[in-house]
Amino acid sequence: MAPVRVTEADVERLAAVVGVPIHPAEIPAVATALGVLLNAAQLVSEFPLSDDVEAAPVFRP
Amino acid sequence: MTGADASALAIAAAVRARRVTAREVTAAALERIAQRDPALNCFTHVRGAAALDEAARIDERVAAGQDAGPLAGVPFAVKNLFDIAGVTTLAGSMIFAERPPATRDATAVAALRRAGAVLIGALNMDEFAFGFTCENAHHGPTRNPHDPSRVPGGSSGGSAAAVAAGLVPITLGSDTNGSIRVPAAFCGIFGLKPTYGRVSRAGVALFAGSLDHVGPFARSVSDLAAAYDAIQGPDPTDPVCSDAPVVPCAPHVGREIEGLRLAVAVGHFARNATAEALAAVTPVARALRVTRHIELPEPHRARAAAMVITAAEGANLHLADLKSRAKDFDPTTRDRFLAGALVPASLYAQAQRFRAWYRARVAEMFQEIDVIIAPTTPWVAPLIGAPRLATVDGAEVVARAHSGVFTQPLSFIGLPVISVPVRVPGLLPLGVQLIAAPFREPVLFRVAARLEADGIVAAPVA
Repeated sequence: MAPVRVTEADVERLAAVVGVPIHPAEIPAVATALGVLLNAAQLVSEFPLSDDVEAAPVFRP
Repeated sequence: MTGADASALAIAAAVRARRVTAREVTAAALERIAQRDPALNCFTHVRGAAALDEAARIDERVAAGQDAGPLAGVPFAVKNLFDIAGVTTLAGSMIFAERPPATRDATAVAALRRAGAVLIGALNMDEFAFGFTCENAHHGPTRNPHDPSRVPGGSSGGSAAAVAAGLVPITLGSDTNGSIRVPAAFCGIFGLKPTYGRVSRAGVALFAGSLDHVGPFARSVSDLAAAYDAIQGPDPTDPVCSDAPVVPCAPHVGREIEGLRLAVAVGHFARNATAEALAAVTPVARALRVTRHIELPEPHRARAAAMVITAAEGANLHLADLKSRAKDFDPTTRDRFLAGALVPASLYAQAQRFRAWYRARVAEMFQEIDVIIAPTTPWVAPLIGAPRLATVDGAEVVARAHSGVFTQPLSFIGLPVISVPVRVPGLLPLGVQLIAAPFREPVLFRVAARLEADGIVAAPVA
């Protein structure tokens, strides 16, 4: 898969949706950091997992 | 017994035998801190008179013929994300500095005090544990005692540097992606990241709860075991703390290692690093006569998934402050926390599911192997203020994050790991990870102790 590219406009839109105000001066650095994360996530997501693989969070009702 | 090189166990034995008082030992530690810490910047809080009073009470117990504990009079200090009754828990931030003092000790801190150890103070760290350098914008960088122009590693940098410099013989830190093992390697000391859930995190400021561990640092294997034995065990106030029976590790120090199945990790763990960092494994493998190699499944994806989980959980924990006062975060963490707040939920969930898959595959490998050996870091301690990008093994990497390239795939599934210190003449310290299946810390102590006894690993005061 092609690397994920995150633009400053992407960050502005996402931040607005999530409701996290980001100072304009911080947008480029956040775009870079988000690009690192989304490319990491892509590396995980492109690995096939069968439906019976369930996450293992600790929750004891 | 009051010198910088005194071991914790030697101090405790001397205090119990009344050859030295806990107060004298504590006063000497405070004097060393006064002398060296202005340059090293390990401590963010020193208890001073309170520590001396605490030590005096240990002496009173000894004088009364009472059992003062296995760590009687041993000075220790903790990363400043551990609650200390009466002290505000900073977690490396200025945001938490506004909070009231903690009302009680973290479970692990209380356990060490019950064992007779004397709490000296709190130690510097990367803000909210999100970093591998301990270059804290609020409290200043901690400096590596082996070379003050270099970082001590992080995020438990103050914890590692304080032990390496002989300020105290034992400290506690936390490890989410490598924050005990990376600074242990850079500072040339022993660090244990126990099995996930083996040591209580109650009273510890979380970073990414799925991956957070608590563990000790020391300059000898015996001291490391003594500290670990004091803090390991169940705690109903930590929801992930295990009910598994406690197996003391001190009795395993010195036991034979014949029959243990050992292997050196290859693939991911034999590239992505400088030649010198990879070469640190060689004397360890040679001393242990390891001939077997093993390749973990998809460790690069494990690391990637750990990054996603860490950023998403960390951002969620601090979301209110990110929304209302992002300017008060350390500039080195702010952009990454903000990015974590923007990660889609499905990507986080996929990373958690991958974690379950990876755990199952690695568990299969441990049917055939007892201890896996791998480098701790891809390089020696970087310079303070090093550039954001670095080139290693022919690839450009984000330098700060890359220090965790070998530690993240292991903490991701909660495996117990001891980082042992390896010195090559003319080089700064490096570390080698000894890795076992969950709850098999005892075999790690057997192997680490053998290496120490054979002179392959050692942690002299820097």
